[in-house]
Amino acid sequence: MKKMNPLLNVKQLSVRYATGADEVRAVDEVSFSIRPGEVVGLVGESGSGKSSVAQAILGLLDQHNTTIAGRIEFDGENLFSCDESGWNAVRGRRIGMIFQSPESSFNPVATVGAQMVEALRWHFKLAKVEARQRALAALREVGMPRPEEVMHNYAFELSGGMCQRAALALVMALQPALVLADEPTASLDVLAQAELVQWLALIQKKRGFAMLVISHDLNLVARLADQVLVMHGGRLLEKGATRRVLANPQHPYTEQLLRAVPRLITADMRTHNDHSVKNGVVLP
Amino acid sequence: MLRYLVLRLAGVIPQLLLISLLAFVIMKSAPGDPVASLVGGREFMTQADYERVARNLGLNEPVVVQYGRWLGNVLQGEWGHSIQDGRKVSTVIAGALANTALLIGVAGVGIVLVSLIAGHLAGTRAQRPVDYIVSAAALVSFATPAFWLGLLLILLFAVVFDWLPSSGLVTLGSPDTLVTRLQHLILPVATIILAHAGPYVRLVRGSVRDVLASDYYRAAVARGLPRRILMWRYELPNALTPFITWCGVSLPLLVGGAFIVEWVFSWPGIGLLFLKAAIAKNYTMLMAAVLVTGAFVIIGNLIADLLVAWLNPKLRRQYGHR
Repeated sequence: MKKMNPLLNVKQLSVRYATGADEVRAVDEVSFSIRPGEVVGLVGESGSGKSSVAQAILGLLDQHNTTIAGRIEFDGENLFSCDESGWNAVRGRRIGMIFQSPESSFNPVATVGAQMVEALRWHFKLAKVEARQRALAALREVGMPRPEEVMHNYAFELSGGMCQRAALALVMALQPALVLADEPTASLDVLAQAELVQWLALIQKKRGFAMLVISHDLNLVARLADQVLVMHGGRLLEKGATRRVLANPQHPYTEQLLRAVPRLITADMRTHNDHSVKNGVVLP
Repeated sequence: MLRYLVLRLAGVIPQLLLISLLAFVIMKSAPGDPVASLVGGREFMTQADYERVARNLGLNEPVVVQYGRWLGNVLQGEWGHSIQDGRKVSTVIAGALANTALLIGVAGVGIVLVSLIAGHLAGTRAQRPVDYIVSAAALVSFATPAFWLGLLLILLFAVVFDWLPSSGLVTLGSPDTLVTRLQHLILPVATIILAHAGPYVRLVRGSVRDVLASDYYRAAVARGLPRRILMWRYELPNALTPFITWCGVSLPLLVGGAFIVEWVFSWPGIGLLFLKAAIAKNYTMLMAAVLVTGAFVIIGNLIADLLVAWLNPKLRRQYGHR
C-alpha cells in the first residue's frame, strides 16, 4: 500500500470520567491512525476503554463529567475545535457509526424509512422522493429482503439481524469516509453475525471506506481488519498488521486474549485451505 | 382502533352506574335532613307539613326504591328539580359545567405548556442551574396546597395591589366584557397551575432524561441530526407517552383541586355547586354533580388512553391500523 496521509489521526487521547470524588482513566494516552480505505480492529475486554475511543472520535462523550485530552484529526481537521454545526457536518455524513444493540438504536416512534429519509434530507438537502429512492437503494445494497416493506416497518417489527442491516444501510446511505463499528455483532445470534460480517466485508470492499471495528471477538477482527490495536485498562498495548499480531503476539496480554478464544470453532475451520489457524483465530 | 374505542366506551356505562350507586348510598347514610334544611331546621315546621314535603319529594320511600326511581328518570333524560329552589337540575348543571370546563380547560392547557417547557429545560440541562431552579420550583409546587395558594394570591393581587378581581365570574355593577371575564379567570387559573404543575414538570424532566440517555437518541446525535429534529422527532414524541398517561391518571386530582379553587374564588362551577348541594343535602343536585364529574374524569381518561395508543406504534399495529 502506498504511503497516504492518514484519514483519522488520534494523538495522545486520554478520557477520564469523574465518578463522585474518584476519577476513572478510561483511555490513557492512546495514539493511532487510520488511512483512507483501511480497516482497523480495536480489541480488548469490556471496560478496556475501546468504546470510549469511538465515542470520543464522534464527540459523543458527556461533556459534564468527562475530561478529554489529546487531539483527534479527521482529514486534517482538528475535531475538538468543532462547534455544533461543525459536528453536525462530520457526524453521520463523514463519520458513520454502527452501534451494538440494533433495535434500540432506532427511534421507537418512527419507521426505519422515516429515519433514513430524515437523515438523507438533512445531510444532502434532498426532496422527499429522491431521499426515498436513495434509502431504498441503500437497503438493497445491504441485501435487505423486501426493502419497500422494511421502509414502513418499525425496528421492533424486524429481527435483530435485519435491524442491524437496516442500521448499516442507514450509515451507508450517508456515504461516510470512515465507519465506526462498535461491537456490531455482539447482540446477534451466530447466523446473523456471519451474515452481517459477510455484508460488511463486501460493502467495505466495494465502497472502500475506512473502518474502525471495535470488538472483543478476535475472529470478527481477524476477518475484517488490516491492522489490529489491542487495548487493556485504557492503554494501547500492541498494534500492528492483523496477521502479525495474531500469529506472533508481542505482549503477554494479547497472548492471553488469544488463548481465551473458544477452541470449538477451530476444528471446523481448519478444513479451509485459504486460511491458516493460529491460537484458535482464523487468520486472513 | 375502532374495536378498542367501542370496547372502552362500553366500559364507561358500568363505571358510571357504580359511581352513582356509591354516591347515593354514601349520601343517604350521611347525617342531615334535606327537608329540615329547607326551612333551616326541623323545629320550624309541623309534623304534618314535614311529612307532606317529604312525600312530595319522594323521600319517605325506601332508599332502594328512591335510587331505582332516580335512575329510571335519569335514563330518560329527566334529572329532576333542585330540592332547594326547584330549578331544573339539568339547566343549573349545564351552566356550571360550562364554567368548570372553561376553568379546567384553560388551566389544563397551562399545565401542559408549563410542564413540557420547564421539563424540557430541566431535562436537557440536568444538574445545571436551570435544572436546580426548575426542580426546586416543582418541589415547592408539589408541597403547596391549592386553597392556601389561592388565598395568598387573592391577598396579594386583589387586596394589596388591587389589580385583579378576587372572586366570581363577573363583578356586580361593572360591565361584563371579554376582558373582565379574562381578568376573573387569571387568579383561579394561576392557582391551579402553580399548585398542580409540580409533579408534571418532574415527570417530563425524568422522561426527557431517559430519552437523552437512550441508544436511539445517541445514534441520532451520531447521525449529525440538528437540534430541531432531535427535539421535535426524538425527544418530544418519546417523552410524551408517559406524560399523557400521567395526565389521564392524575385527572381526578386536578378536578378535585379545581373544585377547591372554585370554592376559594366563588367560581360558579360544578365544584361550588357540589359543595353547596352537599351541605344542604340537595340530593337531586348532588347526584347530578357526582355523575357529571365522574363522566368528565372517565372521558378524560379515555381520551388519554386513546392518545397513548395512537402514539405507540406497537399498540397501533396491534389494533389493525397500517
